[in-house]
This record gives sequence, C-alpha cells and structure tokens, in this order.
Amino acid sequence: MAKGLSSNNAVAVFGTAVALRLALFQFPALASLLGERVEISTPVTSFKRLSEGVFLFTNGVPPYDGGVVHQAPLLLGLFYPIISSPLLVNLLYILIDLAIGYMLLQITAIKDKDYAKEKKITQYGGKEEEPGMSGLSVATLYLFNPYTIASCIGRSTILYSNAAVAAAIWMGMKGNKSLAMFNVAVATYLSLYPSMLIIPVILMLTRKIDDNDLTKKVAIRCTGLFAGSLVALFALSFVLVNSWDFFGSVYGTILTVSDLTPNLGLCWYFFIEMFDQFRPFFLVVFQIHVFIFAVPVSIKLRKYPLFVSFLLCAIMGTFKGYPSVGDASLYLGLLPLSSEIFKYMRYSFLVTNLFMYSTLLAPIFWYLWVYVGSGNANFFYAIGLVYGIGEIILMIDSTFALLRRDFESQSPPETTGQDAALGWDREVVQK
Amino acid sequence: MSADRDSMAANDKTRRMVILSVWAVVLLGLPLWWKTTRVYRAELPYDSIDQWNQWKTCQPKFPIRVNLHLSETKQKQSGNNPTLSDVTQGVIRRVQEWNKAHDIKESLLAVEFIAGKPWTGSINKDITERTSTVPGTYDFYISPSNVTHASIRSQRQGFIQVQSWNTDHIIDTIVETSGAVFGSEERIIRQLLNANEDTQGVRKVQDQLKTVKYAPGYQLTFSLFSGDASNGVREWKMQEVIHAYLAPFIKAMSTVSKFTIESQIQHYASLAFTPQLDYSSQEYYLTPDALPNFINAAEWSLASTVSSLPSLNFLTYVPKPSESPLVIKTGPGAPKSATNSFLIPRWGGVAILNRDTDRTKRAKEHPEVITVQDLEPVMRVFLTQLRDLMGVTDLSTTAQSSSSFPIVFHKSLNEAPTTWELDSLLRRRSAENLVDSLATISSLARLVRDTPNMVVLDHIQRDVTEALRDIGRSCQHLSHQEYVEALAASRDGLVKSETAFFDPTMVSMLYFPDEHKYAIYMPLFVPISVPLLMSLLREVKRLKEKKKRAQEDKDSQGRDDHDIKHDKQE
Repeated sequence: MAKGLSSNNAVAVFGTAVALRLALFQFPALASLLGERVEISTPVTSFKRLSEGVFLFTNGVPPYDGGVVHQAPLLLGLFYPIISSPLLVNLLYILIDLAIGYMLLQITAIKDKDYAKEKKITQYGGKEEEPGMSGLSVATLYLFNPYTIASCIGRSTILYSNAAVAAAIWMGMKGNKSLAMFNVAVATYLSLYPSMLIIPVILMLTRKIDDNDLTKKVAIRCTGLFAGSLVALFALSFVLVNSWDFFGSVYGTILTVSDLTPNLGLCWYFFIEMFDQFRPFFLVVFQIHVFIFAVPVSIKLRKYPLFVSFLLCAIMGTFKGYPSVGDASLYLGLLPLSSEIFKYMRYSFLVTNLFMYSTLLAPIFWYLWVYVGSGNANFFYAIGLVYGIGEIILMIDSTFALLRRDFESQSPPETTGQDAALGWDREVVQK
Repeated sequence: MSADRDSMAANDKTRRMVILSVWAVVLLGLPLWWKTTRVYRAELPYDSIDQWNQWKTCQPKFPIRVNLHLSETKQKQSGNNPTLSDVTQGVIRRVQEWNKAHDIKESLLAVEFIAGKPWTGSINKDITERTSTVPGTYDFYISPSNVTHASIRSQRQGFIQVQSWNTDHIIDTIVETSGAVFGSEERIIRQLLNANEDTQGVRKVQDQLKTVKYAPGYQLTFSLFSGDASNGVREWKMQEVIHAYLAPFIKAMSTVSKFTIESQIQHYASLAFTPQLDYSSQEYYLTPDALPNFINAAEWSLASTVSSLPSLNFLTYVPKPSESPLVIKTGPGAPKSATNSFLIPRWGGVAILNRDTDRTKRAKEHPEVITVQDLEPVMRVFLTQLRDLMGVTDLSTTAQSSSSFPIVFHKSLNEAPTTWELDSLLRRRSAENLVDSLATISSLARLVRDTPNMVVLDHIQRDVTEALRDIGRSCQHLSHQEYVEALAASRDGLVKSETAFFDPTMVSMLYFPDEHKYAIYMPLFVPISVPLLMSLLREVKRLKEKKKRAQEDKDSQGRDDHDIKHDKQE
C-alpha cells in the first residue's frame, strides 16, 4: 500500500515536472529570452553558440575556427541529427532533467540503505535521529528548483555535464566502477572542472572496503579507467571533427577565461580590470584556487563522499570562470542528499535570502547597466559578489553542520544523569 | 583511554594530511608564480644602436655625379684653349680646397665631377634628348657667351655660358653654379645628420617646420566651405581643376609619395568669430593674429573617413555676403595679402575666395557654379602650399642671392617639381627618415634601459633589428647613388622603428613602480597566507609538544610503546 502510494507520488512529481517544462517550452519567446540571459547561459554553455557550431559542422566548416563555439565536439554530434526539430531538442532537455531527478532518487535509496546499517545517533532526550529526506523529496527539490527550470528552458548545455555528474555519483554509490569512472570522464570532457570529482567517486566505490591495499588497488584501477575513458572520448571527438582544434577552443577557453562576457562569476570583471602583465599569474592563481580544495576536503570528509561531491560541485559552481545558475541547480540538488545535517545549519535563512536577493536583482541591475545606462558594470558585478557570498556561506555552513553531526556521532551526549544538564549548548543547536 | 588516543592520533593525521596537501599545491604554484610574472625582456641590440647613433656603422653619403661637357666651338679660334681635363681637375681641386678651408673632412654631398663629351655648343634636340634618368647624375654643358650666365633646365641639365673663355673663369663659374645648386641642400642635410639628440628640438630649419612628416602616401582633401547659402555657391569645378593643375605635380611626385584625393562641399560653415570691417575700403579683414582661429574645428568636419593615410587639407572659404569681401591684412588701411591665403604648417592650406556680390557679373549660364577660371588662382596658391608641405624646396629662392651672375632655374608645368628638386627631395627625405628612425630606436633603447619593469617581447626585438637592417640597407643604397631604393628602405626602417616604439605591450608597463606590486598582491595573498602560515606554525608546535610528551612518557617507563612507534612512523 505504502509502496503504491509512493510510486503514485513519483508519477505525480515527474508528470508535473514534465508538464511544467512542456508548458514553458510552449512559449518560444521565453526560451530564447532565458537562453540569452547571462546568468543562465555562459559562453561555454550557450545553446545559441551550440546551434551555430552544429550549423557550421553540418555545412562542413570547421566549427571551432570562428572562435564562437566552445562546446565539446560530441555535443555537436549529439545535436547534429535533431537540431532541426525544436520539439526533439526540447524533449531531450526535459528527458535529461528528469533523468537527473531520477538518479537523485536512486542515490537517496542507496544512501538510505547505508544509513540503516549505521549506528544511530542518540539525541538529547534519548531520541534517535530521524532519517533524512525521502528520495522523492530530493528529486522534487531538484525538479522544481527555479534554477533548474530556468536552466532547462534556457537550454543551457551545462545540463549534460550535470547529468554526467549525477550519473557518476549514482554509479559510484552503486559500486559500478567502470560506469562511474566513465561518467566522471564524460563530465570532465564536457566541462573540465568535474575531473576533481574522481576523488569522491573513488571514495564511494571503496567505502565498503576495509583493506587498505585493496582500496589502493581499486583507486589505481579507477584512475586508469577514468584516463582510458577520457582518451576514448577525445579520440571519438577527433574522429568526429577531424582536428584537435577543439582542445584550445573548449578547454583553452575554460582555463584562460578568454571570453569575458559578464556572468554571475567572480572572474570576468577581475580580468577586465587586471593589468595585462599580471593576467597570466592571476589566471593560474584562480584556476589553482578551484582545484586546491579537492584533496583536503576529501581527506577531511572521507567518510561522507556524497557531501564531498556536493561541496566540490559548489566550489566549482562558485569559482569557475563561467558559472551559471545551472551549476547552482546541480549542487542545490546534491545538498538534500545530506539532508540529515540540515538541523545543524545556522545560516539557512541568510543563505536563502542572499540567493533570492541576487536572483531578483541580477536581471534588474543588468538592465540598468546594459539597456538603460543609468548603472554601470559595478552594479551587476556587485550582485555577482552577493551571489558568491551566498554560495560560500552555504558551503561553510553545511560543512560546519556536517562536522557538528560527526562530532555528535563520535561523542554522543549524556542523555541521563547529572551531565545531561550540561548539554544545553547542543540543545540550542538541535532546537 | 587507548581508543580515545587512537582517534586523537587519527585526527592528527588527518589534519596533517590536509595541511600538507594545501601546502603542496602552494609550493607547486611557486614556480608558476615565477614563470607568469617574469618580466620578459628580449635583448635589444644596444651596441649597434650606439654605433649607429655616431654613424660608425655607415656614414650616409649622397654621391652626385656631374658630367662636364665643354663646347668645342671656340677651341679652334684661340690658342689658350681650356681643355676638359684641365677644367675637371681644376674644379675638383677647388672643391677640395674649399672643403679644407671650411674644415670639412668629407663632403656629405659627394659631388664628383667627371669629364664628359665635348659638344657643339648649341642647344639642340640632340642634347635635350640625352638627358640623365638616374637621380643624382647631372650634365653641365659649358659654352662661351657674351655674359656669364647659367640656366638650370628641368631635365637634370645645366647650361653654363661664360664670358671669358679661359680655364680659371670656367672653373669659377662651375664651382659657383654647383655651389648654388647643391650648397643649401648640403647645409640642410649636414644639420640633419649632425644634430645629436640634445638639439633635436631645434634642429629643424625654419622651412622644415612646414613640411609634413614623411609618409609613403598622403590623402589630400579639398574642401569648399561656404559661409552662407545666400552667396549662391552650389557647385565647384574642382575635379576639372585637379585634373588640369594638380595632375603634373602628383605624377612627378609619384617616386616619393602617392596621393589620394577627395573633395567636399560644406554649406553654412560659419566662422567662429566675426571679421572686422575696414570702413575706408569697405572690406572685412582678418588680422594674422586671428588666423589660428580660422578653422572652426568644432563645427567643420574635416576628418577623413576614407583612409588611414596622413591627410592634408586645403580649404577654399567663400565668405557669406554680409562678410565679403574678406581679406587678410594687418589692420585697417594696411596692404592686403596678395594671395588672400595662408598656410598651416603640417596641416594644409586655406584660401579665401571672394565672389562678386553682384550676381550679374558672374558667369551668365550658371551663376552658382565656381568655375575653373575662378579656381585657378586658388589652385596656384594650393600648389605652392603643397610644395612647401611636401618639402620641395624651390632652388631659385635659395640660390639666387649667393651667386655673382644670374642663374635661371627652369620650372616645369604647374609647379610640378623638377628633376633637380625631386632628387634633392629624395636625398633629404632619406636623410630625415634615417635620422628619425634612429632617434626613435635610440629613445626606445634608452626607455627600455631606464625601465627595468618594462616587458620587451620578441617582436619588439625583431622590429628593432629589422629597422636597423633597413637603415643599413638605405645607407648602402645611398652610397651607391640609388636614391629611390634608399628612400624606400629608410621608409621601412622608420615604419618599423615606430611600430616598435608605439607597441601597446610596451606602453602598458611604461609606468609601473614597485609599490603597485604590493597593491596587486596584498589584497588576495595576505588573507590567504595568514591561515596557511598559522596552521603550519601550530602544527609544528604541536609536533614539538608531542615529541616532548613522548619523551616524558618514555622516561616514565615507556608504557605506551605502541603509540610512540605509531607516531614515529608518520
């Protein structure tokens, strides 16, 4: 009975998600409006540029010659047969979005199974900790996140990278080494930064192995699989476009932040203002800054690979050269996977407000700057900074919450006797 | 107790690993820091620049050959006939003496006199057709006559007629003629080449200030500015006038520079000020003081949109009826300017064209058209101005004063430069380009030496080296009397030296003191480095303490052997 109810609910959630997206796609003006927004589509994820690339590809012109297209060749290949039919394109986007929702649902199921085996944390008052959100709630949070919807309707190609990340995490949790590594490779191939997810995914794959040597062996094998898949993808791309130009155009643009179209990120304004002399130096600093967190975070939080992947996705989405709300939709989708930490978070209200504030003001300030001319670039960049602060506080707060919970589980509070009266500080935290 | 310690040790290990992993990346970043902020400085050829500055590598010389031809006619009549070889030797000796007297070691214009062929003494077709087509090679034909007299014809020929037919007099006349023809040019070039960097500002002689900077091409813009519609100007026959008057000039100049020409008419072009009225003559007048304000730069559109060549403007201004006739004079009652025009150095020329206010006096059929006849005086003025702007020196004005006998310079049609003037222009422009490009290169070298922060990229080095090579090439061509090639090479050198000097990568770091570096590094790296350093220090301290405790533990029986071993392993 209960199972039937949940599957009914699932049908309802996914059905509504599809209906909503189909309905929104009915307004082509909306799709193109969202597709033009700098917050949604960046130079490396814009559907317009992708269409241009596919058009050039179809007409036998090398797509990467003009410096317009920065998407991976296999994406061009994927869209090549269907680009002429907007319906098929839209359906593909909806399907991928739903697939991510479905994968989140599956990941939660696996996580719940793991969780059931864990020792329960005894909370103040002798109660056991309640389990986190159900898979359906996680999927719902993802599917009805306004960022997700906007990104999907705006047809940002970040969606494919997000799907690959979600698939990699799912496969990692499931224990399927080759598929997990293949999906990390696909995500890397599409937008480079997810390469650092190889660490949490390996952590997931090895989470049930106690033997140190075996863990090392698995890790080495996984790295090999990852490299192999990546090389295969590159080779396939070469076969498709028959040149290596895409390297410079896709990864060169990502790494050198050469296209300074404004976006929600922190790089564009900085590199516009930077002295030319110091540009390469700060470019290196900024790119290292994105990657520097991968290892220490994975070491510190190695017991929580799901949370590590959330944190790394959030770091990518904040500090990469061309962030968009599509990146936010991914890590905001991954965050509820660790929903048991929510009760320890202190700044949820602030973070929510910062996100809402920047979401509302970004288009307005953009309008003031670009169309009306009564503002300048600082207005829009300031909103980007606010958005960045929101993201950073979210990361700090959730990490704090996770460590707090970790602490709770390692040193459970005295629930009876004299010492219990000293547990007041925990009470505050736990409400 | 033991379990607690285990977890503590595990915690320590984790923390150490985290700190280590962050520091590993930071240390990896250090070489990148060095690599990306390195001030790249390609080595400039300082030595050869210095050598060039003192003309050590190649002293530019401007060889000139003059073939002397003596008339045969009188040789039979008198016994004391001057022979060609005597005359030639005499001239050469005289020039050397003159140089020695004036303490000139080596003449820049190395005039070389060569004994030519004897001729009949009458200017006929045979002679006029035997003209030299090589710039720098000239023919002097000497014949006896009643009066001493020289006539410099346009086609690299000079006819010298002497009163008394003896060797000394012939020599005197030849030396004086060549002095008149080449003397001023020699002086100008000497000034150009010998000016060192300190005197660069004042090195230009008066008339050189008018001359525009050399370019391989110029854009000439002829504009008609009509003050008011009521003066009845609708059209001008500029195209015809250009074909008739300007074409010969442009054709003759084509070895030096090319020209593109455009013309425009603008109506309602009012002056920025009101001219004064001279009641006695009922003329409006502009004083020379007011002329700098004549061009109404704010309202008259004079910028050419067509090409990137340097442009020269020639303005014909037709005043409005309420302000005409408009003349230029120093004050009321003073004589007015004959040409009613003025030249703006390095910019162009302005001519005021007063139309008859009485409509009936104008051409009957088209009273609104400025005809070719109307424009002719204006165009003559413009041609003279163009000569000045291009740096074509009129030999007759410089030579006449110094000689003891009349020297007539033949002019070519419509003020087109003669071959003499053109050759002189080639030499002078080459010298100018050489000097300018060397000055540019040496300032660049000085700038680079004085600014250690300045990035010098490879292409700057390449440009400088190539510019020096072009200069050398030009100098070689000059010494071989290949003036056209020399000018082309010197132009290449000038262009390259300026490309290097004005390269944007150089300008950006022109002023970049060290304090700026702190401003660049501090905001980001101080906040980052504080926790990094603190955590490192704390970790070191913790390790020390641990060692100490382990020592104490060991001293007190070494109970937890296992733990200590474990610690040491790390």
